[in-house]
Parts: sequence; structure tokens; C-alpha cells
Amino acid sequence: MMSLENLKSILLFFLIISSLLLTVAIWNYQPDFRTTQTEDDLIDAQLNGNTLTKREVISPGQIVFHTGDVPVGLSEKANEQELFQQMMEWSLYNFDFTMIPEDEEIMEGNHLEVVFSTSIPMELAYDLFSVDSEIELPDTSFNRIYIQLDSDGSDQDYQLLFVDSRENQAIQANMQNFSQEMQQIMSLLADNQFNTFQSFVNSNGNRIYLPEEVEMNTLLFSYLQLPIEPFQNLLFNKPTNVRSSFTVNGNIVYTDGTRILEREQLRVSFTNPINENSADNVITEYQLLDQVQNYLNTHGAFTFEEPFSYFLSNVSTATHTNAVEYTLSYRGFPIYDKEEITTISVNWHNQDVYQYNHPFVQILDQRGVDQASYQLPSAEQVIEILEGENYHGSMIHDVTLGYQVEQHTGGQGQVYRLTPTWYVRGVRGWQPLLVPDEQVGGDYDAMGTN
Amino acid sequence: MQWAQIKTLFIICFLILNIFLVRQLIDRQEENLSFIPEATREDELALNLSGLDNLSDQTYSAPLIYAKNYQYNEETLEEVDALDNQRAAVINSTHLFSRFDHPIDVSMDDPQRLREIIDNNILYGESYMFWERDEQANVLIFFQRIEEPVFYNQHAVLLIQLNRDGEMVQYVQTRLQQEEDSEEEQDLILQYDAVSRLYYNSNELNTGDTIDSIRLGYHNLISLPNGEQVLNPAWNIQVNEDRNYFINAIEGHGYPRNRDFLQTTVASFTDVIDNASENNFQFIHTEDAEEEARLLNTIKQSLISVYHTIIEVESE
Repeated sequence: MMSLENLKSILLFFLIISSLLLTVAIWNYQPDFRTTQTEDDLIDAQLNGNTLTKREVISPGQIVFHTGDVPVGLSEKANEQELFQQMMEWSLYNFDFTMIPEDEEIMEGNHLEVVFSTSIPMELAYDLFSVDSEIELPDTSFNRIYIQLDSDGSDQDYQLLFVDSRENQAIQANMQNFSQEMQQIMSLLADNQFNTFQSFVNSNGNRIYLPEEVEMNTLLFSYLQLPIEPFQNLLFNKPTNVRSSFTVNGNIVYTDGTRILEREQLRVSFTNPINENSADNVITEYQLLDQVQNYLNTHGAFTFEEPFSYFLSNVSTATHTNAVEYTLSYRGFPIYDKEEITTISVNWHNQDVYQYNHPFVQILDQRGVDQASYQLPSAEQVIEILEGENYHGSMIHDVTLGYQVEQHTGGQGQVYRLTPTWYVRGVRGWQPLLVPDEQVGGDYDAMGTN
Repeated sequence: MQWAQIKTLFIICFLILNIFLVRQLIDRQEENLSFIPEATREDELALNLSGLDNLSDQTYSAPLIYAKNYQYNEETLEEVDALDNQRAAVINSTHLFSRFDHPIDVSMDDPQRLREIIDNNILYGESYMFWERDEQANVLIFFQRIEEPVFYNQHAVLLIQLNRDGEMVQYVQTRLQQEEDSEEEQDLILQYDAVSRLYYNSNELNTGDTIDSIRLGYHNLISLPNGEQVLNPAWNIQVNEDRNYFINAIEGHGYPRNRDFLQTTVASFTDVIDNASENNFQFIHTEDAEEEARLLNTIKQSLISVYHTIIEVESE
């Protein structure tokens, strides 16, 4: 009898202990979901530049007022940008397809025309304006927005048109509190100076606008060379495996046997050959822009100081190239040059980088005072040149005022010089306006000294 | 007596509690496992490919290799000099072109004898591994081994040209030399994972394909302008006895197929002959300048004819 009671005591003791152990085991049980993290993940891969939202990289080339006999615009670029900021407060609804009448004005009566230098995916309207996320936007793009000014909201069935000049279809939309918003726009414009535009029809039959009077100066800037280490850490899986060597022309090539990073004098370019082929699953231009911009923001790739900024200058999805490109601008004017120190471009395949180009220098502080530039050709003269011998038979897609950037050695030491220049976009992208020889030493120079 | 009854009651209670706790613990463990969908992927792989049993479960490790072009210096030239029956030219100290005075019969059916011929007639011949015979061009392709074979590398290859009777007539040899001591060994992905990645990430494998063998070697895509190379461990997967794929054994990414390796290599070798400046030539077993020029020309013409054969086959 005693021994049975002893046995029961031992059993009970054992059961109590085991229940305690089991409870502890359940408490401490943690599934092993940790991925192996190596030291490489922790190294610094930051370019310490700015981050930009999608909204911040969209900036119009011009906002044109069709309210009188001739098209006019704001004479100050800063005011134009402020106006666009105001426009982005609009809340839009009622998006729908509409046909553009051929050989007719796209919009009659008083209206605004916002001109962009590149096509923008329609879906970006979610980011630019306030649009209900439940509204489905068509998968198209636009490079101009027309805004009806006279509409009282009743007889007109839409107030906005999103037009892609390559298509004959457009997207129409309505604006909430239309008259109120318009009043606000008008009050913003009340004390502004206006500048008239000369219009010119490009090779695609679209009207482009050239400002008649522009005050732009030649500017000098100091610059900073970016460090190469963050690029290595960012672009190679295991930076410690990377070896480098000089090329004959003084560049440095880095490789881990698979990927290649080349440090040229003024930019870095990277290629990952194993990501050359884009898989079958196609992404929209909006998704592409979203992914690339996220990628760039994560490592602070927008290396600029205000009032410089980067704007979206290309986004395209083709069969084998998904490309996004940003261009540097100064106070809203684009900066183009030959040495490609002003563009960030990414070729993006399979949610990862295939090719990446980034400037290796960052333009920094202004040096010296503004120098009055030699007289730029006037809008009228530009049109004359475009219709003349130099551009006979060549495509002209777009014309804009921008800055040309060049390295310059002078009293300020090594600096970059921004020179106001007319740029023409033809088959080979943006190129400076070709001023005919006889006019270089003649008219314009003479006018400059006057 | 009462105490005994209470004890019995407690025993029953704790028994039930323990059963409950054990079930809880098992449930949690199963929950964890169910997050890994590998099981179905494994099934799919097993269903579509045969030869998976050949794969080893062992975990391998290997270092990266940093290598540069081997320089044929005075000493090694003397060793080439000791080889009979051939006249040779070393260009840029990196490329050895050699032609046999009397073609040597190689019996492809007898690997042992082929090995012997290579070892005896070619400098460091023992460090080259037979890869394949290109039937159209009639060329034997050997890869250099640096511990493991270096696959498809223009700077670590031995190309032997045969004549119609299957005799060796001339060869071109390049070598890599390990530059620094091996870095730390890195863990490699499992052989099974390499096959799995090949199957899922490239569209190269079809249902019914057989994995014949898998072996470790080195491969790279980019070499530096100074000739230095970072060689990555790579799994070579042989499928259906004729297709070879390479998977990076550390990162697991695939490599492009090396379809035109022979063509580009032969083209680059003729370029080396064409572009080298005069003082970058060293000749062995030649008597005068005229003979040297003739030798170079014969070797070059022979390479060019190989190149044309490959192109013709391609265009057909």
C-alpha cells in the first residue's frame, strides 16, 4: 500500500515538473525566421544626397496663358513654380477618354496650357493632384495639361485635358470647387509680370513656346567630388571581393568578376551583366518610376544643393530596356551638357539595377557674382534659325532655354560655369542651338555689346 | 486515505494539462514548417528532372581566386625550348603559339594516352583539363585548373588544332597565375540549390531533362584592364550529356551560355598576333627572321581558317 502511494507521489512530482518545463518551452519558442545577416549589410552605402518624392521631380517646362491675342507666361520662373504648386492642390475626379479633334485647337476660349518636357505616366496624377485612390486611372501618359478658364462648371463637361502629343486620344477630368480654385489662381497672378511667348510648330505638329524676354546670367560654381566607396558598397554584393585597376585613359574599373563599376573622370557607370535580360513580366511606367525612385532615395542618390534640383527627364518601358532618367536643373531651368555630369540614369530589370550612371561631381556653392551673359538670341531669332539652313530636313521635337555646364579655370580656381543656352531636342537628344556662322560674329555679338 | 485520493485527482489533472501542452508545442513547430513551401518545389523538381540522386548533400566551401596573366619569362622559355618537335612564339609574354614540325597522333578513344601526350608535349600540360572537342572546327578545348577548372576563360585555355587525320598540328596556350594567397573560404550553395535555381530562374531546363553531373570550378564575366581577374566559384551542371550550365556558387545567380567562346577566343588570338609590336615577340626553335615570319603566318592562317569554319557552320 505504502509503495503504491510512493509511486503516485513520484508520478505526481514528475508530472508537475514536466508541465512546468513544457510551459517554459512554449513561452520561449520562437520560430527561426531570421535571415542570415552579414557584416556587409551594415556598411555605409549612402551618397548623402537628398530624397525626392515623385511629386517633386515633376516640373513643367512652361505654363502658358492663352487669354489674349498672344500666348503669355510668368516672367519669373520661381513664380511659375509657385503657380504649379498651387495647381497641385486641386482635387480631380471624373476621368474619361476623349478624342482630340484633328486640325483644330485642342481647347477653345481662355485656357492655361502646362507643358512638360517629357511624357508622364497618367497614374502619376495620384501623386500630383488629390485624386481618390479608388478612381481607376487609364494606363496612358501625358505631356501637356490644358485647363479651361471660362468654364462655369455647368455647360462644359470637363475642365482639364491631359494630352500626350503623340496620341490623338486624351484624358478629360473635372475639378472640385472649380471657380474657387480659379479665383485663387487669379489672385496669385495679380501682381505678376508677364512675358510673351513666340510659338513655333515642331516636327510633330505640336506648338512649342519660346519666351521672348529672359534674364539669365552666366554663373560660376564650386564643386565637390563624390566618394567612390558608397557606390562600391551599394552596387556589389560583397565589396570586400572587389578588385580595381586603371584603364589607359585614367579611369578606374572595379569588378567582383561579375559586375563592373567604372569611375570615369566625371561620372560613375555600373553594369550588372547577369541582369541584362528583362523577364517577361512587364511593368507599367508608373511602377518603374516608383521602384527606381525608391531605390535612388534609399541611398540618397539625388546629390544636389538648393536651388539646384533633379527633375524627371525620361521614363520608358520597352521590350529590353526599362529606363528612367533625371536631369539636374538650376532654378527650374534644365542643365544639359556633353559630359553627362548632370544626369542620373537607371536601367531597371527584374526589380533590380541593370545599369546605373551617376555624376561623380556635385555642383556646390556659387562663386563670384553673376556675369551678364552675352545676349542670347531672341525667340524670334531662334525661330528664324530653326527655319533656316542649319535645321533644314532635321527633326525638331522641342526647344527650351537651359544652361550649358562646362569646367572652367579662372580667378576662382577650378569651377563649373553655367552658361544660358538655347537647346533643341532632335534625333540625338538635347543639343545646343546651332547658330549659323555668319551670325555668330555678326548680329548677336553686335547686339551683345550694344 | 483522503490524501491518496487527492493525489490521484492531481495526477489526472496534470496528465491532461501535459497532453494539452505537448500538443501546443507540436502545433507551433508545424506552423513554422508550413511557412517553407520548399516541399512542393522539391516535388516539382523531382517530377520534372531526373538524375537528382547524383547530387551530393555535402556543404562545400571555396575561396575566391584573384589571378593575373602568367608571364612567360626567360626560365619558362627555356622549358619550352626543351620541348621537341615544335617551333613556338610567345607574344606579349602571355600568349604561347606553337606548331609541331611533325603532327602528333592523338587517340580520342584513349583518355590515358591523350593525357600522356598533353603532359609530354605541352608546358604545364598536366594543369589543363580536357573539356570538349569542337567537331566542326576540329579543335580540342582544354581549361586550366587552379585547384578547380577555370571555365571558359580566354586567359586560361589551351586550344589544340587537329588536322583531318586527327593529329595535333598546332596549339595556343594562355595561363593564369594566382596572385595572392587565397582569401577565407566561403560557404557555397548546395548542389541541389544550384540545380533548383537553374530550373526556376532560367528557362533553360525542360521537363524530362537529366542532370548528369555537377562539379565545382571557377568562372567570371569581367576582367580588369590590367589583366587581373576575380574568379568566382561556380557549379558546372551538365545536362543531357551535351549542355553545360554555370551557377555562381556563392550568390547563386546564373551565367550566360558560352555559345561563341571558341569563335571569340580564336578571333582574339589572331588579334594578338596582328596587334603586337615587334619587340613583344619571342621565338623558340627558329633560325632567322624569315622563318619566324613564316611560322607566325602559318599559325595565323590556320587560326583564321578555324574562325571561318565556325562562322560558316553558324550561318548554315
